[in-house]
Amino acid sequence: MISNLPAPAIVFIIGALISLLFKNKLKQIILLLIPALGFYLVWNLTGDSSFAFSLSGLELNMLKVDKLSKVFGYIFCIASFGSFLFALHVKENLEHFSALIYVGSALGVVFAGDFISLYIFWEFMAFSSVMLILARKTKKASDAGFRYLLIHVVGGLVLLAGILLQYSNTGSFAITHITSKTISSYLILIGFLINAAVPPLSAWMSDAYPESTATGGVFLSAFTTKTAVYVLLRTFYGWDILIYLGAAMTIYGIIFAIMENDARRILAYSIMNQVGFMIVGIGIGTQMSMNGAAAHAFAHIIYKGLLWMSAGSVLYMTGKTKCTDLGGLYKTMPVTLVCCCIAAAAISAFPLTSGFTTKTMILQSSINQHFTIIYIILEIASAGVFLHAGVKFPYFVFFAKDKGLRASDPKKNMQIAMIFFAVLCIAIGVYPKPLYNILPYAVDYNAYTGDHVVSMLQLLLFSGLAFFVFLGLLKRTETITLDTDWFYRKGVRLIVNSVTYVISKIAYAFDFVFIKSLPAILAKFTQKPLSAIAGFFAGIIKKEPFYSGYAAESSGPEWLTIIAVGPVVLVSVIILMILAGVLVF
Amino acid sequence: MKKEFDWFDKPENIKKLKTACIVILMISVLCEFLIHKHIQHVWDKIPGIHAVFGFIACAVLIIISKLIGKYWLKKDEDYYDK
Repeated sequence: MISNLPAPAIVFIIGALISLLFKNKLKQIILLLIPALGFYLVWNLTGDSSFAFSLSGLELNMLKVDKLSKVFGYIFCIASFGSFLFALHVKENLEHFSALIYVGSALGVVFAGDFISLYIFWEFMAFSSVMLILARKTKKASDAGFRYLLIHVVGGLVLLAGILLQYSNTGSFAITHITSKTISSYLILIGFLINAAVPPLSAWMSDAYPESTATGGVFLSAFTTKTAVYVLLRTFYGWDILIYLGAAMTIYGIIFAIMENDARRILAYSIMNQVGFMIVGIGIGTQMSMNGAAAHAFAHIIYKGLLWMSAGSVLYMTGKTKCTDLGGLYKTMPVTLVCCCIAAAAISAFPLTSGFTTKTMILQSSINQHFTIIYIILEIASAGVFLHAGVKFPYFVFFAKDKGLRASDPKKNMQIAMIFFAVLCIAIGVYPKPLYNILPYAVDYNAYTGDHVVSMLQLLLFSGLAFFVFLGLLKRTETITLDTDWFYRKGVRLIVNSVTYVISKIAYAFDFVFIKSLPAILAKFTQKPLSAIAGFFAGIIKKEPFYSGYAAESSGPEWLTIIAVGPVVLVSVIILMILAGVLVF
Repeated sequence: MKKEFDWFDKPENIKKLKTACIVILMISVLCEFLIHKHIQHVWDKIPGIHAVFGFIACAVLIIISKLIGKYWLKKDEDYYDK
């Protein structure tokens, strides 16, 4: 029975456990079979499929299927197949295990029928993906991994708070289009935006992804941000704020990518830039723009995975990722170079590549809805994509100055994976019809008008010209670029330091007043009141510490005190005696 | 030993490449006169506007990030370890 199929997530999670039992060849076969089986399942899912059970009175549904969830289901299975092919040689059990759980939970989010299942898989994603960073086994990686986890746990809690608040308002965990502008909606939105890496909640990505293993980065680039795009597509389409956030994101990503020296960090920023386009599409909220966002996510996962593969190959073969250490690799890594250039062309949306047939849908819908300023920003961003990901990344890694590295192309399985993705990039560009057919709404769009092709070519080619004209300004420096992670990496330390400083000053002042000065002054005052007061004033005038010398002085009687106080005491005693006499007699 | 492929290291090849690029750039602008233009914005009427736009946009992006990097956000690699 087709309608009783298990959720694809379950296949991956059980597969992860099974994969632990096997070794070598058999394990490799299992790693490739699981995504293939997942794809077969997604293919056969229909609207009636369900995988529901009840958990202490809560009805949970892990399988709610429509066209939108199927698009993401397909691409997640394809992406994981390619990524496992690329990572097939890795011997670490932990890496494969956590990658399988990670992909499975991403699929779990995509097919979740209610917010509770979604949240459970959401958290699984965070905890399994961090393993792909920790597996690098460097101090930098483990530090970045824990910061990554921290942000995602906070993001998860914000999401959970939103979900529970919404439940108390509406009495339902159903995942539907959210239209009410209440606190619960905003909490859910923030939870999603953190995973989509929308600035200023974005620095976790450029901080952590580049520290992942050579193969782990390929997985990371595909799933976390794209599940966020998926849930936004499902719940927050048509929210104006997303249009502006998305547009800002496209430019933010480019500016940081231009400043960066680390090749994988450049790629992390370009994920941000590309997700920005999708978020604009979601914010516009028309059928065409949402088709565009889904299609662009589909194409993006492939070409971005391919870019991470080529950077991963370079890291794997040379152990280096910084542009200042790389260059001249075209001589010895031809396969990697060609695949990288195809991905670079696809991300830049060159005609005949996948980016062109998908991104232009979003651009066109911004024109159709008369978002002229947004359209101009997206055009600037399109030009900038070619600048940083299309030219800068391949140029500094494979050309530029020969640094004497003579690394060859990586292992066969890595090369085949790259070629597989490169073929897909071109296939979607040349013949986008199959992709258009699986989109959530009917597509009435043709990317290949003379107008589109020529204007895009002009835009991109002259952006390339700008790169070489301004090459002097783009010279790489051995620097890092500060992002909003500064606030929790350095800012917190600054706050702690300044608070400690202030508290220590207060403690010092207390010590000075109550331990050192006051007792001495009081002691002096009780013994020699007048000279104490006189000394106090003298101290102020002379700018000397007013307590100095007080305690050290001898405590003998003082003539001045006796002359001044003596008559007063004498008179008081006489008066007291008179009073006593009067009272007695 | 097999001689390695170093086509891009030779100055005369770079010269050829430059000429080819300039020709391609010119073709991309000239193509505009061969196609039927679908005017969506006023500026679409200006020939070569997308070429000019692409160049200026990138120039501005490069200069802005250069300035931000130089005066604000670019730091030494051991910045966070200090």
